[in-house]
Amino acid sequence: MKLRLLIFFFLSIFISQSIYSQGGIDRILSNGEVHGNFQMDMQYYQEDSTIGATDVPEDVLMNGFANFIYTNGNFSAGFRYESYLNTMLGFPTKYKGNGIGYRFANFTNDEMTVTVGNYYEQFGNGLIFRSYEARGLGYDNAMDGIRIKYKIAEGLNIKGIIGKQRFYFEYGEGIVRGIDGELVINDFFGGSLKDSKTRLTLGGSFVSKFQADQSSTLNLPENVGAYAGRFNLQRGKINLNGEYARKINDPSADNGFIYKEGEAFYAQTGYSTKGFGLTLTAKGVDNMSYRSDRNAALTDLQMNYLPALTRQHTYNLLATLYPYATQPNGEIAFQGEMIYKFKKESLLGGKYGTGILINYSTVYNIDSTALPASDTTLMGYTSNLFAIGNEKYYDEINVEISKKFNKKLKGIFTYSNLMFNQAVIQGKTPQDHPDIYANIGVIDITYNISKKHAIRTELQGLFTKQDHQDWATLLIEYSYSPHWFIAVMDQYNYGNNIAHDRIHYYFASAGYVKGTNRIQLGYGKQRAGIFCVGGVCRNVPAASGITLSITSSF
Amino acid sequence: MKKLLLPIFVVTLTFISCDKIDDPIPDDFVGTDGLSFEDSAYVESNPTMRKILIEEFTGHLCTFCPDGAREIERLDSVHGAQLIPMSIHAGGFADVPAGGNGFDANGDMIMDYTTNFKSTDGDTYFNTFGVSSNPAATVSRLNNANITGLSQWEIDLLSIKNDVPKVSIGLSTLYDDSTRTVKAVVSTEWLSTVAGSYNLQLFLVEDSIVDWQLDNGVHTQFYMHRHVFRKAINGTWGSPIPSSNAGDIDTQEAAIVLPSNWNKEKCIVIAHIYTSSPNYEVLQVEELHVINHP
Repeated sequence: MKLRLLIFFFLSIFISQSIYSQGGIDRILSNGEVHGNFQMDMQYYQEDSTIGATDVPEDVLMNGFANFIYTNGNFSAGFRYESYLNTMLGFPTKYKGNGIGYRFANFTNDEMTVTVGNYYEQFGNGLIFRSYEARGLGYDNAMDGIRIKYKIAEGLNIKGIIGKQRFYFEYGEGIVRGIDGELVINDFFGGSLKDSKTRLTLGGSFVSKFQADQSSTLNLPENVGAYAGRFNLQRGKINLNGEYARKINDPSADNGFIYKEGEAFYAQTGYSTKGFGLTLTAKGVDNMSYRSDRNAALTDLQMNYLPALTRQHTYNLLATLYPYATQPNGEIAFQGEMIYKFKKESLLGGKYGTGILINYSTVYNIDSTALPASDTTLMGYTSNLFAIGNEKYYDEINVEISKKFNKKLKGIFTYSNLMFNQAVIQGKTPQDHPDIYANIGVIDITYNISKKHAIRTELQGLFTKQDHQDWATLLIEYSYSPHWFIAVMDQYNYGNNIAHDRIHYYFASAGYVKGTNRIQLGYGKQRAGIFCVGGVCRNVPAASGITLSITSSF
Repeated sequence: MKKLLLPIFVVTLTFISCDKIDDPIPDDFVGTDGLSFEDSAYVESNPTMRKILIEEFTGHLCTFCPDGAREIERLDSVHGAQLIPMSIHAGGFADVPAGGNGFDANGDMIMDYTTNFKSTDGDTYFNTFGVSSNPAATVSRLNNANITGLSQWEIDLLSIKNDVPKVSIGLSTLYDDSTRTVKAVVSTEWLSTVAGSYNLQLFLVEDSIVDWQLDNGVHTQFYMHRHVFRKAINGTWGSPIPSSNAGDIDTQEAAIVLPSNWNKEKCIVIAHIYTSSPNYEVLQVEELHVINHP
């Protein structure tokens, strides 16, 4: 039914434009474009008691989607068809069946842009509002409603939103509305400022959610507002930006229904020049979980985004064993990253130059004091957002050296030392789950055999006395450009203190790429763990079987 | 300046959307700290049986409503283990009329409709579900809480009688006689994953109240009013259950002080889980006497 409505919708647009536009159908056809993309992931599941992988009654599970977007001048419209038959393990099981997960129409008229239907949006750094999707997480909090962007004057823009958030194939209970304004000082005042080397942008936003109070035990706020102010100062190679956000009382399942106000800050400065870059970032979060349903949990109906200030890893062991998940109830984090490229023909640069990246990040709790249970204001605790507490959540130093040895051989060498508070980050009992201290090394070598043939190997090792002790991963990937690739990988928990848990997680895959089409087939075991994107995480169960992945676009 | 009118208007509208709460605890909240409960009982859903809630709308001046009550009694005798009835006195027939009592020429009382069985919660359900005639009831709030006449009730009941339950309820009641406080503790466990939003609703019902009732044109003095709805213990529409994935468990509690004119021995707590969005369907229901557990 929904599909029929969409077809009718597009036909209506098409016919109405055909009749009334000056150029008629030829002009419409010549101006209009349709683009889209498609992805399907399918897995045949096998029971494997050695890793705790279970069979599924359907044998095969599949997630798929396709986007179709029509654009014609100032008008665009589109939809995303989604199919979960049934949802693959590790994704929220409430994605089930087929449906239109996203549809929108959008037009721009002079200073105004209007979007109706679904849209993604972000105010500032997202501390009080970010609507986005991360398909790998099964995360999608798309808005459904109306968005208006308006250019008031040169350098002064506002955008207003109102709608409900997507909740799988339904909507969340709350209504979200907000406004964001951004003033580019140089453009707004013009004159000599316009060409100034120093550029200043100021921004401010306000967001409010409505959800009816159904509680008999608490007087719950039905309208919960949050506001934020930000700036961005740029001069030459130096950049400084910051944002502060505050949220009024928002009792929720996340914070144990306390009435304390929430606050957060984000500050970053960077310097960048040829061959050198330095970035320093700080972030504080106190009681800033903000959802359009106060009873929602996990990744459901989040309105804001609190990025993790830790390095985003791509190597298997670093990325999936101990990834950091943002603690919205309270954390203070710092990160520094420096990149430097030793010049060619220098002592350390050699013939082709050498790149080095050093990244350090650390996360603590914020300094807070619990209020007694007899406190009738239900404030929960007192705190100082800018004061570091005495419990460390995460700490990591990374050194990455990239080196090209000759025309055929290049490598990336990574060393990482981390501390991971699994009791806090993964919600485990502290007495059984001590902090994890690990050393990790990765050697990534690519050898171009010829113009078309290349072989890449990854050798990874993770060494720790805690948790499941030592791991090693070996990956060998052979590519025959431009169409074929084949890879084998083994992740081995060789150091596990329990002998029968010293398991090999092997995986083999092969793929074919032509143009925008990509087909990949794999077979092997997937370790149970946590998968994170930008500090937002989901649990992934152990699985074994055959995987098929197809992507395409036009 | 004209260009600024729109944003100023929007900003003004948006900024007022903040509710600052200085008194989080409601005035009518019943605390249970320090109480010693001398009576307690527990009941748990049969995981293979979907129990059915029938909410009847009635009134002491509704002349045909006793026909509905008798139909419910019949259904209860047939499907007793699976049926949980409740009678909500609401609407014009449940009003206490001016001069609600009357006497004949000899001075003998011929009617007395001065007892008020109505409740604020009951009126809300009456208006929300759109009751327009009596006898009227909704069976587990099927079809968006469709209100039907008595001939439909068993049809609706049979349509869901063999359903496999999606959620299980564990209901405990505790009673402190010194303060006449009833505390209900409810644990819900999802037996399968379901989409939508769900609420836990707790009702206090008083059974077997003898009072006047107009019954097919006859003013009946010693009419037994069964399963009389008294109050929604945890708010008119209950309280949300955070998630509904298979295996998810949620525990909630609420308390109520029994007024002195409610017979504690006949008071029953009903706990049900219903769909708060997109409809009102009741997925599972349980009941338990406050004391004198049968």
